[in-house]
Amino acid sequence: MTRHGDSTLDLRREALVDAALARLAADPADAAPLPDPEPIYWRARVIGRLTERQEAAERAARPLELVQLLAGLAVAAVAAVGAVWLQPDLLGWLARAGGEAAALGGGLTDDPGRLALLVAAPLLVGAGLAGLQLLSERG
Amino acid sequence: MIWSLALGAGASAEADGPGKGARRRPAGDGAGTPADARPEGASLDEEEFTALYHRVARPLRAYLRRLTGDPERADDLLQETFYRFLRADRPPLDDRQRTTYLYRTATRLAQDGWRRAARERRRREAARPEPEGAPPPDRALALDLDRAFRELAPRQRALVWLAGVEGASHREIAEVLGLAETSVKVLLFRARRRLARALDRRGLAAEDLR
Repeated sequence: MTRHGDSTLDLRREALVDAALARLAADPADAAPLPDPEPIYWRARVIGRLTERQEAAERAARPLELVQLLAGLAVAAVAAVGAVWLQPDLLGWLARAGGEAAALGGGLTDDPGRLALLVAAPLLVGAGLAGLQLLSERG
Repeated sequence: MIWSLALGAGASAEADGPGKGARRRPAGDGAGTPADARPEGASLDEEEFTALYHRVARPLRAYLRRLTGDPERADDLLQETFYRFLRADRPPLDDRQRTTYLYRTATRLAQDGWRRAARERRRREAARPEPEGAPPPDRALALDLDRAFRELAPRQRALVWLAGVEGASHREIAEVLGLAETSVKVLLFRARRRLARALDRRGLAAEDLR
């Protein structure tokens, strides 16, 4: 048995503390029924299994994510190589497209009627299609 | 003490209950043996867990009750302690280590939110109506003892209880409370002296308590 008393605490106080602890340890309230261990066990088990499944799913998904990442990198690399290879042609196309867009923009602003037609045409087509759909639903 | 009871005398601990004197450590080496070291946590089956629970839960709850001063909270912490024990990812432990692990976990849980819990307990006690008339002598003595014990700081309560009731060695106490083994003796002396003073102030004598 371990003896924890200290000689500097006088014997009367030693006896008092020991008696107090004995009394506290004999508290009848400590004999009250314990919580049931079964729910504790099953709670831990069920949550443990769920966590394991979740971790397994994460582990299983990890290679797929890696493949996706590698595929993305490969596409980016091919695109970069292609861009470098086609750079002169691309620059030419872009310059030509820019010129045509500028010409078209200039033409549009020169003639407001053309601009109005360009905006109104899709709206008219959309309205026509909606009308047809409405008619077909009623019919 | 539970650390040694866990190595084979557990059944007698359960049967003895709390009324067999302060020190629970039976005669014996108390140092523990490697016992049934095997994987646990995830692999501990229900029967093994229940056996461990019945060996350790009662003294552990008494410890938690003294630490928190609140029986309901002690029950909650007891369940949480065993739950964490089951969920912990750790290498296999022998019985002495399991017991230390459980006590250490319980101590940490009791320390978490200690002030909040103490406030809540005081609020509940203040709201409770005072019983009419003087309490019976035994009840008055128990209340005095309880109040004297509560005068100790939480760590002092743990020290005094583990040493005086559980009969834990300085090394075991150091492991549970996260202290240096060399500090335990000094801290324990101070805690016992403080408890003695608290008991003295209430005019309690050893003879009254027997």
